[in-house]
Amino acid sequence: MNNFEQIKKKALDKWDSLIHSDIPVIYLGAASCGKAAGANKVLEIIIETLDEHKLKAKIIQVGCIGPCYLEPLMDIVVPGQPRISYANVDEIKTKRIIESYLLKNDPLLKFAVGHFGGEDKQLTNGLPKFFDLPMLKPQVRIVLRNCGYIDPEDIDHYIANDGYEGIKKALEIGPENVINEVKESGIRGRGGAGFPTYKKWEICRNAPGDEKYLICNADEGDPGAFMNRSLIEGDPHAILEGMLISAFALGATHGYIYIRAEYPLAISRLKKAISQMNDYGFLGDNIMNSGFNFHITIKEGAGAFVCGEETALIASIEGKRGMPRSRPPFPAIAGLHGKPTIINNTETLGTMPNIIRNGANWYKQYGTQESHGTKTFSLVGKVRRTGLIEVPMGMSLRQIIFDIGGGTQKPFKAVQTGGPSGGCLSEEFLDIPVDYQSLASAGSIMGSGGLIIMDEDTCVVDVARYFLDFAQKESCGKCTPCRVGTRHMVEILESITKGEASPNVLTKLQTLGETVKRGSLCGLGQTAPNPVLTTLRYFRSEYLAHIKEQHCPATVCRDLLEYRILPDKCTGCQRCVNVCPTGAITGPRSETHNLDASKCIKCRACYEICRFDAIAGDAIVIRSKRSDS
Amino acid sequence: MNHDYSGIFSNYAGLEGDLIPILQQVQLKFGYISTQSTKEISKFLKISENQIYGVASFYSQFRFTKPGRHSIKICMGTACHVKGGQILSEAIERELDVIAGESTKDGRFDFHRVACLGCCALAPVVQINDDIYSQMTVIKLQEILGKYE
Amino acid sequence: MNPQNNKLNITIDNKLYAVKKGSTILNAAQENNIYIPTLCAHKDLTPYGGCRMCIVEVEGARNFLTACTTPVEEGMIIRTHTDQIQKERKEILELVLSEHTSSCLICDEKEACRNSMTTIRKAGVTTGCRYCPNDDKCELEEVVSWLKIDEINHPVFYRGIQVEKNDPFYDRDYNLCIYCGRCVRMCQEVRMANVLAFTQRGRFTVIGPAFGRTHVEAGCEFCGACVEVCPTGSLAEKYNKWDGVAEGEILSTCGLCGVGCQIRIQVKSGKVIGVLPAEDKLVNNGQLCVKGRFSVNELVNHYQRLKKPQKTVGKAILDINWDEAIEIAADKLKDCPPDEFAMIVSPNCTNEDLYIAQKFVRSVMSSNNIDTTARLYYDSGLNDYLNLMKKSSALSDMKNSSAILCLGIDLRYGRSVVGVEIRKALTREAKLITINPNEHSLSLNADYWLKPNPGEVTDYLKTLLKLLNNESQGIKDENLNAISQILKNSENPILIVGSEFLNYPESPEIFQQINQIADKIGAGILSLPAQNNLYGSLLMGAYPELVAGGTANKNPSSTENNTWNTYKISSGKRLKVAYIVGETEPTSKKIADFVIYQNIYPVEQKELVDLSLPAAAFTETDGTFINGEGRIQFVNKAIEPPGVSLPDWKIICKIAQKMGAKDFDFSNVAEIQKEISQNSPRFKNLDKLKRKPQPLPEGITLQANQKQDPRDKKTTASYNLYKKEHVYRGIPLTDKVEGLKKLIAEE
Repeated sequence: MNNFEQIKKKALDKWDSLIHSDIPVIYLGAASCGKAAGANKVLEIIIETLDEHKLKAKIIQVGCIGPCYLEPLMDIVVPGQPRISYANVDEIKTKRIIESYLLKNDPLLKFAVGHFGGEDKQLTNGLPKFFDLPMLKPQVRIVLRNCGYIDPEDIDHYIANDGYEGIKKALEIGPENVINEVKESGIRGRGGAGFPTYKKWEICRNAPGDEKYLICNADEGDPGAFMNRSLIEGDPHAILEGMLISAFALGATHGYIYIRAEYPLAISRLKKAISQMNDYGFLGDNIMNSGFNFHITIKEGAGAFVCGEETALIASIEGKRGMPRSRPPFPAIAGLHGKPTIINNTETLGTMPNIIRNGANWYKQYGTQESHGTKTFSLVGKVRRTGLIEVPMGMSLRQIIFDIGGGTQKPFKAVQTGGPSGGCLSEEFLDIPVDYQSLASAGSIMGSGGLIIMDEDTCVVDVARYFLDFAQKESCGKCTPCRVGTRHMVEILESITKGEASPNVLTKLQTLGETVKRGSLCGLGQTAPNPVLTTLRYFRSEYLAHIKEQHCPATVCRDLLEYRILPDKCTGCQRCVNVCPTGAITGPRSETHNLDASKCIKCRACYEICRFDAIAGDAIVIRSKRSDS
Repeated sequence: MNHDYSGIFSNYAGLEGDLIPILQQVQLKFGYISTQSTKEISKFLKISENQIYGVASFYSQFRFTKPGRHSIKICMGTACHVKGGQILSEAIERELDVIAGESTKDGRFDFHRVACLGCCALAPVVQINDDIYSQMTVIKLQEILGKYE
Repeated sequence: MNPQNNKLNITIDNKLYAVKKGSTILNAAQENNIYIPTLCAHKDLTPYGGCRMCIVEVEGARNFLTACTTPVEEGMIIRTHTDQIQKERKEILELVLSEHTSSCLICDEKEACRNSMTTIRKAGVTTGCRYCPNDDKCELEEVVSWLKIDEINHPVFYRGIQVEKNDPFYDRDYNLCIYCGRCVRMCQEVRMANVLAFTQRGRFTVIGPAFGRTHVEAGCEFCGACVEVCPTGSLAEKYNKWDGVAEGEILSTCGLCGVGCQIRIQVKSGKVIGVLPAEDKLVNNGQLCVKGRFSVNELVNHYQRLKKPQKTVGKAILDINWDEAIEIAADKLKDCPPDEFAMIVSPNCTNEDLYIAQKFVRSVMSSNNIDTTARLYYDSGLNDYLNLMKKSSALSDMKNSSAILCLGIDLRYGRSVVGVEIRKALTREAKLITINPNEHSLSLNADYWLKPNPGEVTDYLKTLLKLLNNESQGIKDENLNAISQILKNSENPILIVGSEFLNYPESPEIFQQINQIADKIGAGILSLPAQNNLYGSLLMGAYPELVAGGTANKNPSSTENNTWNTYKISSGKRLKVAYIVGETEPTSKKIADFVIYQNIYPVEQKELVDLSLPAAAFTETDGTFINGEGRIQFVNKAIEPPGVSLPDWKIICKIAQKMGAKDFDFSNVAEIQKEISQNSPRFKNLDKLKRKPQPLPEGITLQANQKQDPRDKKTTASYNLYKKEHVYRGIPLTDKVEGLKKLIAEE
């Protein structure tokens, strides 16, 4: 272990010289979402500005710290001052902030959102601490502790922040004690089903055979979920250390990371991290001189949601079609190449170093009696503050949506937990605690952690149809209930959104949903009807409005809407006439235009141009057909 | 053997589990999986072309037609759906006279609907080549398409 | 081992059973005659769990479990048809039916239609509305009626997929497909041909080859295994598409090549409507090739079959009755001197036919002039080929073999069952080496595929021999070194010899070298001749050099160079009477003053024969064959021969008796077998010994023709036809079987 002490010392020195840097340090949130929001351009401007004024500063690209709505995020540390965070920086702001702060020592606090220092600093007067921001304050960051804080591409940063202490301890206490610690901690699989992690490990450890595999499931296929991506992009070593701990406990010698090919940045960060581990002797043969051998291969998923299912994922790694197979036998007994295999979710593995390092009792202080620890969620949809969050188990949906997420612009309608496999819950459930049991009893699931917030502008029938259509398209086709049943359900939902359904379809939809749920082979089919079954339960009136009144209360379902020109508002500017692809809008300049509903394909072009470019601004409206009569 | 392929194959042991990574490399190199590709892979892995095609066509990543000069991906994730992704998708199909999953007749664009691009906060999102366009509208789309020849 | 250790106690539907450890719930139930409906499970295939019909309730399990995939556990309590399960099954099956054009299953008029062929719809009286080729053999139909479904509560999705009719032998209508995956698993797991695959996914799943290719293009062997396991009418054999269910099946031996596959001949209304493989652990393991599976019915049911005796009068052909025909034949033969008579007999005939034929030539005609066309087929390599048969091993030996060397053989169409066994061996880590200048069905599977140009084969084999003898010698192909190592270190190696090299002028040397290699490494040889009963023709003595029992003919004339044989048909002495049994006319000129022609099809050029006698095909007669391994196999009569046709032996006996010969009064083949056993003891107690293959006895040698200068047209043999491999009784299968024309190009 001498070697590790040396490595650690070097890392601490490096980290220290960064914290106490004698030149300014600029941190830029450069995860995929930050890049999509323009972080690359900001980076160029930073470099240009520094060059222009011959300023010296360290630039560090960090992962996502969570609040996506603030992206791109740039933090600046000037020696002797706390780290100050600037949100939504663009090209102009960036240049101004750098010039002002580094040249004139004026931090331009009007652009700042928070700081990372103590309270007493004069400079930051009035500026809240970053982690005191309403979105961050209620959070408990365990697995995300390093995200946005350290340079994910530098293993020394990770080591300096207690990295690889977990595996070090695991090697000292031995596999049985590791499993015991995990058992004590009560952590359950963070991928969705919530199976106690230690149980799986124990089965696999006790399964006969020397060749065992560990797979990290980073095939995050839920639309609207990006926890795994952010975690890997922000702190890849946490997952890799978690894999080491898990593999050591199981007696696995080879590990795979199955990750979506759509996550190129995460993949490249993992590759970099693996090569750094190899350099330090944290991977390969005789890890940390302990005699423990472990190798990791990255497998890129090729675009199939069903491969998030364990047996399908295994088939995919084996080079086959990702079709699930029946269990038993469970992968822990006969998995990859017929050998005992454990598949753990990225978040589960990322949590492991913390549990082992700090002990089960420490971990148990978070969460509820039954569900320990924390869970990450991606908070998206019609919520004010979108982003990635980590909260203790048992926090209520209301706290998450309103305290952390800042609530909705328009009145709240529903929240979908667990992505396409989960359920859609109405306002009355806002006070239930978010844990495995409570969500299940409401007909939903915890899932991997997607939270999609809907307000009154969202049509739940349309959302249910969307999720079912997604499940239907992602169905592998192997078993009948999933392949055919979801298709019938989509057809029925489509007829409802078109206002063509008869009232008895709801019973049929219910029966079909239950058949698919009970009869399907794998988790995809077994959970696919959840969005429909829950919305039928909690939003029945909205279905009935579509069916009986041909009315979509949220004005979303296109067949139930119409576009209208308000004669008293139209100035006859002809902008809409020019963009209409079908010639539905006619009329000479300066006279009220006419919209021929029979030609209108509801492409939205006129609506947009009127709102953004035209003189009137609101002469074209989209409204429910029913309001006619 | 074609040199292009032997370069790719040299990184693999030739096991069945190498099939998907090899297909990914081949697509990266050639833009799509051609009949020539399946033939070469078949010889290397000793797996029939039929099996290879069966595996490749299961995954939405793989394409079997020559891609266009520019690649349009439209996000069909939840956030984008709620914010009008479907309307954008139809606008693209109408503007370019193309069906999702195929290329335009002039080979200028290929068009794909993809699962979440992971930029939910910026929905709806359209990706053309490596450029991501966020908070898209039908009108913006028409302007942007003109930039690509 | 105590058998109790292998048993588990479980409860099914409140009854206790002791079942085998490791079996699935479905197996356990079936063994105890408890019905659980299934659509995707099949005894030869790995469990799939797709159709969900076999769900059962297991106490303690969260959900219903599929019986086909769940292994039994001690103390399991299983319920197979509670109300809830039945309801669930019904709902799922309704979903299946909503993807399947199923009016034939749930039509109100179903029973009336079946019983009285009447229907309120405008459908043909003879067909009713039952438009599915799988009518009455549909497994879906069985489950539908078991679950008593008479209504579907869902709209039906018709897929609108074009019916695939461009491949020979079977049509594919994937609108009827229920995605049970049996055909795919059959093709991948059992045949390992990997032609069928699931492509695309979800509801867009399609079954078929890559890029929508036809089966011919995709390398399909047309073994028909997929058709047999299809539970619906998606895959339907073209020829018997509307023939419905067979009335019975007869176990027999296929007569179309030397593998000797065991078959189940499907019979309906006195016709062969199809052939299915028999479960036979030793030869074909429940598999067939395209010839056995798909060409027999077309071959024997053909409208062109010769059904009555005919005589040629001037330019006219007249139908006559047997009495007249026998009288004419006997009359002509009676006056024929022994050396002006000759008989050509087919190596496709049964042993009993062949024995009677040679007995007739020798005892009635006092001649030695009997020969088969095999002499022409093997040509100068004949005797060396027979030497390979003397080392023949059993097909089942491949199970223990760690190295297989295939020489000049393509197993795609003919003998494809051997290809299956080879691929099976490969999954057991056996090594495969093929030597073949052309692309063949094993080129992808082979560890080494050597492609010598014609003329180079002997060099390759010579080098290989030297390497095996540890002599280092200029290596022609660097792979040979590795190959020699594999062969040297192999256990129970097997050499499989095909017909590719027969056409090479150096074929004798090639066969000799193969023989030496086999000696060197102690390998068995599978020669599997094209002629299904070549072995039998030798053992029965249907050659001038051999007598019954396969021993050398002591008659001095038989060894002289001027002995008659099939080479001399056109070049030797003019014959007075020629008797052709089971072959076609040899040349375009008449070969004797009087030609008796006995076969299942009429002669093509009528003027070349004087008397035509209608014979029975192998589906229409009893007897035995001996396959290439040297295994005696039974041929059982499935149907009556067409018209007044008779088995060869019966016709010959009739003529012999008419000529006053004694000892030809056999009334069945058992009597002939008894006589055969006097010379060939293996024919005693045929039942016990029939399964044991024996290599060709050492004593059997024939004089091969000298190597010929191909430019010397004069000495080239007649019957050029016989270089064709896929021939039955002189008739190329491609002439009579429509589908084979598309597959096999034989000049």
